[in-house]
Amino acid sequence: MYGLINKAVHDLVVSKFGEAAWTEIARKAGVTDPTFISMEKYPDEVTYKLVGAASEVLKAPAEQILEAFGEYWTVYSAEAGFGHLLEFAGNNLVDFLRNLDNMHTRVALTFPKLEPPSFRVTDITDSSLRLHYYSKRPGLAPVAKGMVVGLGKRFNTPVSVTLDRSRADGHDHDEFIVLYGDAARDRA
Amino acid sequence: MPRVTAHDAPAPGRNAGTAGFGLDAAALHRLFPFHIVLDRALQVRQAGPVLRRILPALASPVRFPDHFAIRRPALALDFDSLAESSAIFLIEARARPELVLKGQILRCDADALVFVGSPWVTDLVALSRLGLTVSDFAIHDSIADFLVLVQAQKTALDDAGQLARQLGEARDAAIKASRVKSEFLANMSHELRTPLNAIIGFSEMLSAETLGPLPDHYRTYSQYIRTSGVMLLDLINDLLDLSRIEAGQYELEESDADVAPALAECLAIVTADAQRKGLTLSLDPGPPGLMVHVDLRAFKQVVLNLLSNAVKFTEAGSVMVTAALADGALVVTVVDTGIGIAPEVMPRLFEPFHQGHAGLSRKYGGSGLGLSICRNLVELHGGQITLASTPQMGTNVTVRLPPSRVLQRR
Repeated sequence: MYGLINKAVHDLVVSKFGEAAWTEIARKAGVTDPTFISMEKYPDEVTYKLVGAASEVLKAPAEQILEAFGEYWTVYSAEAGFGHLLEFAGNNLVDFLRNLDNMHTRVALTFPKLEPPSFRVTDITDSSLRLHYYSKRPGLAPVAKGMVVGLGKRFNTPVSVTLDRSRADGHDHDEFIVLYGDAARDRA
Repeated sequence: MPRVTAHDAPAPGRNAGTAGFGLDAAALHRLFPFHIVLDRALQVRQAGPVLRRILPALASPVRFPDHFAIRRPALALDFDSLAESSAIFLIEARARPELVLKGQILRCDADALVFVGSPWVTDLVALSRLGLTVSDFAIHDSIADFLVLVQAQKTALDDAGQLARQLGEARDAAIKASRVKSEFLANMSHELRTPLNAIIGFSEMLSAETLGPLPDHYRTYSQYIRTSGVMLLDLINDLLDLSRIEAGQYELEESDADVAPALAECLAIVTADAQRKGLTLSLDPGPPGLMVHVDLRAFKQVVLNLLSNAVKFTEAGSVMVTAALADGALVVTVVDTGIGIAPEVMPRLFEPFHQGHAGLSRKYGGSGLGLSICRNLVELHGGQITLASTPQMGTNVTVRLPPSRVLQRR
């Protein structure tokens, strides 16, 4: 993963739990150099270890940490200089999700080592859609879920996200049912 | 239905590898969402859907020159000139000057031209001002990828700037910490010397039996106290010198001094040790009457330190000190036939607290400050100190003081 992701993990932890929690997490994860460089690739292992250590230190399940990260990512990436890129990707939830795969493809052209996830949107109605999530990395479906929740906030659209099919159950990818607008409000 | 067909397209089925092809309106609009079709009178006959969204006036037939200005190339604005040009076109929308289309113009048929291109922007802010999103561009259009690349480079530059600031802050903090350390060291060294004077002074009195005879072993012990005290004082003096130099508080007390007696004095101090090891000592004081304008104490401290090192690290053979003029500069060289210095440790030798390797300090003693102090003292005089060595063959240390420091008595 690129350093930008690890920086986001750092910022999430520091903003919610303080510098001391981060120091402890970094120590447990064996991260000796506290400075991540946004555009440099780090082994995925570093990020997984940070999430594992955060789960241990913050006494929260890893899924919860990953979901919080996914939600935070939509805010962080905008603040880390990619805000206009996000605007460019769409100005409402459905357009954004439909453009998401192309955006990742374009970003991957710039960052050849990125290995980004892939997304596909099907079954679009006025109130729901099905989001297909493909990733080479295991266990990150909660990040995708959190990201959709974060996008709902970005576009001021209520969302409800349910994992309908999971790689954990033997499927080749994860599928989420995303309710949005009034349908999501009703669900809540 | 608008239809654009390459005008030199061969008949279907003929030469299929290079055949032209027709595009229906929907495909044309997806491929070229910003295209413009012009007729011979330069009326806009058709425009891409995204362009029409930004410039609603294009929905009805309008004259191209009324709505667009060609920034480049410079050419006459008529059908044939446009048709014949193979230049890059930059076309500005008069109603939205921030919209500049970059592309090319091709003849579709005898009476129609098509412009294909897309908005030229160098940052994403400009795109959002135009209300454009990624789905407004054709997949084949590289402008979106270009903008991602530009954004990534901006982020990388911001990152580099932030890292540079952090490094600068860390460096400032380190410099400050080092200065505080040096000041502390200077103060402490001074405080340490005061009680040492009493220890050395009284042990000297005891060894000399000034106050009456002592039993033999007490006299020996008092000599041990004195010797240890003197060694400690040397070490503290070294530390004091280094800390004063590092704190920028070392001030040279300069005067005109004769080179030959200064060198001879230093040589005399190491003679006893050299004789104990059976080493030959020699001095070549250079041209008669050679004088330098230096801090004499510092000058002698440098030479003595180099000579002490030479004697310390030479088990057999000789140690020689020479003075000479080279291009007006004074060159003092100390040459020995000692154990030499391994090439890998040479670069560190002038750093404080380094000796050749850890084993050396155990075997030969010393703080590892000497060469660092020498270099600093020489540099305070505007000079340089260099070192050449071959392991097991010997070492050659050269001190060079600039011509401005050299005086020669006539």
